[in-house]
Amino acid sequence: MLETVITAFSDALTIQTLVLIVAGVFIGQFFGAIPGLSALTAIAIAVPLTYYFTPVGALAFLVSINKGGTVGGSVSAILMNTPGTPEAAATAFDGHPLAKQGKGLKALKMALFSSVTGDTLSDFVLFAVSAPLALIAIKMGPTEMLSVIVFALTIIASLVGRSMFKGLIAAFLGLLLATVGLDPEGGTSRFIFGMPDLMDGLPISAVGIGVLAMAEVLRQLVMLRGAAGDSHLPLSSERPEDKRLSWAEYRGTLRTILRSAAIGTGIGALPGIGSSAAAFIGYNAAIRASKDPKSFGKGNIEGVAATEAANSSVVGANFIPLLALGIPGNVAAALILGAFIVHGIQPGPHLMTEQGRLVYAMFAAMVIANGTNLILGYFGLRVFAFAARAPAMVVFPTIGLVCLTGAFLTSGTFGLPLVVGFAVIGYLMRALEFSFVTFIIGFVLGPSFELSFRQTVILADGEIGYLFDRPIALAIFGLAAFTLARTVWRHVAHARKPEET
Amino acid sequence: MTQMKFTGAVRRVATVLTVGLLATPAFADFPEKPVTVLVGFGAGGGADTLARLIGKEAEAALGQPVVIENVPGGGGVVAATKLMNATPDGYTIGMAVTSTFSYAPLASDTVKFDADTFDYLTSAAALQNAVVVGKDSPFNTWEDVVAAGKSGQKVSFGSSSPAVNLMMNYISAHDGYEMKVVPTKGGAEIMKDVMGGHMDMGWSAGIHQRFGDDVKVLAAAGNERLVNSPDVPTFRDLGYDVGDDTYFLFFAPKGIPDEVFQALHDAFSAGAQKPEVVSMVESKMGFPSKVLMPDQLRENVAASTAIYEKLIAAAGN
Repeated sequence: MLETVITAFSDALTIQTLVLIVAGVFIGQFFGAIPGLSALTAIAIAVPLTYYFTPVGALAFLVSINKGGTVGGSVSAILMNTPGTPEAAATAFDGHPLAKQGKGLKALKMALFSSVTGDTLSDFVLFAVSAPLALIAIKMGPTEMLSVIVFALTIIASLVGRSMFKGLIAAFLGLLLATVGLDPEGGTSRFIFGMPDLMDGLPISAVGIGVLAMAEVLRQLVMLRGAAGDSHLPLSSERPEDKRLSWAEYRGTLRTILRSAAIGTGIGALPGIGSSAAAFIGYNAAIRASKDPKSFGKGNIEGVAATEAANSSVVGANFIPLLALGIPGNVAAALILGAFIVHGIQPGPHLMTEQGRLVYAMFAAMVIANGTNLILGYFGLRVFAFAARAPAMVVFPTIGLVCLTGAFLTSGTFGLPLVVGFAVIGYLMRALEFSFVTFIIGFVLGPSFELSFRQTVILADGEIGYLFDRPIALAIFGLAAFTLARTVWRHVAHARKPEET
Repeated sequence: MTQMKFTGAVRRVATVLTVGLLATPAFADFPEKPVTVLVGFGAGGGADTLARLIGKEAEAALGQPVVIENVPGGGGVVAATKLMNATPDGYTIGMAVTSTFSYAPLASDTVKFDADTFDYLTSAAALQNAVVVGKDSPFNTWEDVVAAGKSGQKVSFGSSSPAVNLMMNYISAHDGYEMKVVPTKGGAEIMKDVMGGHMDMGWSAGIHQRFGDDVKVLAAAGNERLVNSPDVPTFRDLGYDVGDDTYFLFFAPKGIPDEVFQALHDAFSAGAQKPEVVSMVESKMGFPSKVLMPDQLRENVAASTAIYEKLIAAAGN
């Protein structure tokens, strides 16, 4: 065993691999930190480059970009309230209020530590029990996936905001926009208005950038009108305890981090749900478990920890179905699978016996990448925090430009009007207090929901008995019904005796 | 005055030279700038990998960079639509699959091109379309499926596209039974669903080769047998009048000067036949390397179009 570990690390500790890990983490953090870009963009660009690396180097590089992205994503969410991707949207809920209170650095550090902790924990789950977990993934057919998505939707439904009605309107608007494109069963065009660009639906990157980041830029610019161009954020208050994250504070959130890491790992092991849902569910679970749920959304550091641990732990866990079955859990994993195959590695049940040494070297590279993520992130925070000190009238137009650049990179000229259009929608939603969170969740989970629903309907073929043959799905549907009933009941109770909030 | 005359002379000489240069065939210098390949699928997938591998070789042959641009969407339709309106000067070409030109134009009014809108440069590899089941499935041959269907069991089939739906519905209708054809995201998801027993059978474009003994192959959907499962009959062998050969292929807008077209064909076709590329395609990606000539590809697209016209007519819409 020890020998395996030593061989693995000596394979991973070559100069080329180390340089690639550091470069990968840096690129991932950089792409993740910039609203409009994401680690996914970086991976898509990097995959062809890796054809010329050694297999270990190629995998280490791609995995490092992926990991760096999980840390970078929190930066713009916390400092500017402009999350670049849906998975960082919940980071801004508490991270940005903290930044406004002068505790930006503290929030960034918490995001970094919880992110790396969550990622590391899910990596260990991957090393230790990927084969049995993958067997669970294979038991999840269309009906089981439908039940999980419905359950996720009911959990997230409690994030609708003050008005359940408006929250639901936003969620269904998201679901409606998710139907744009070719119908998955018959290939019929839906809402594409003769534009082939829309055949695969509205690009999720453009919608996310528009509603989450660009809309906030618009809102800030509107607020800036007539105001003096002073620095936007009193970033570092003078008190040193606002900049630091003490050990006691980290330990205090450890329960939250562990809970979110478990949620993220579980969701990551199932192909097709994704880190955005994990982030919202992790955040929501932290509120449920907290003794002081009212403090969330106003700058509770646990909210940052819960979100970041959850979305980062999806990254390691996504490799469980990839390595054990050859089934990628998300788009990033699918791209990395492509690199595996080009290097002659066949992920699947025989991977360990055929390529054991390489897999262990990749695990070693993952551990090194986690450490690098921590170190680079720690120093990188200061740079980003410094950039955020620029006057708001400089910062927000710059972010706007970067958002458009990112949309251009991912979707071409077609993405630009979409980002602007969705920015206006996002701005109106903020102004009219419609929840953009439920909107984006509806949009993100819409296609999976539709597909698994239609699959279930076809497979059941009108026989209700089909459902009763699926105990796992039935149990999860039961949980979903329970959660939904509880959420509705709470809202009704809340509406009866309005409180001062 | 002399000055002016001199200028006039210079201008005349310059004009003659310019005309002379223009008169020399422009293709002699092709390519003078980078050639862009619009790949109809996302970065990192099979089509993208092939385009980049072959593009790299073509770059060496052409002496100019070959730029790969991913234009995913609609199974290659977005890239083809972009290319349809591109200037036919040889500097912008595309890469997609046979069904982009055969099935897609028949299926949707949104598609503004058809099989004759383009010229086909060369193919890169052939897909390995097959029907597979999990290793624990009671079905061992296609006849078992037919028997089950005829006995009234509604077998489920994981499909990767509406084109596959058409083919499977045609085949089951031929024997007088019905299948539950289930849409999926394709590829690995179908393998998961057949291995997990959630669907009785599924479609594979070649991905099943990665799963070894965990899946069984029941039938090949092309006109030729599968390279790695030579004992498995094709649907034609089994008596169905269908068979669709799908290739990854490079294409170009019509109207490119012959010499430029030839230069592109030579560069990309030779690239696809390089031993390094062939070994990558065959041993690592699991697709047989098949490099077809432009005329053969036109026939391939025409044959595929005929098949889908028949399937669509049979489906009654």
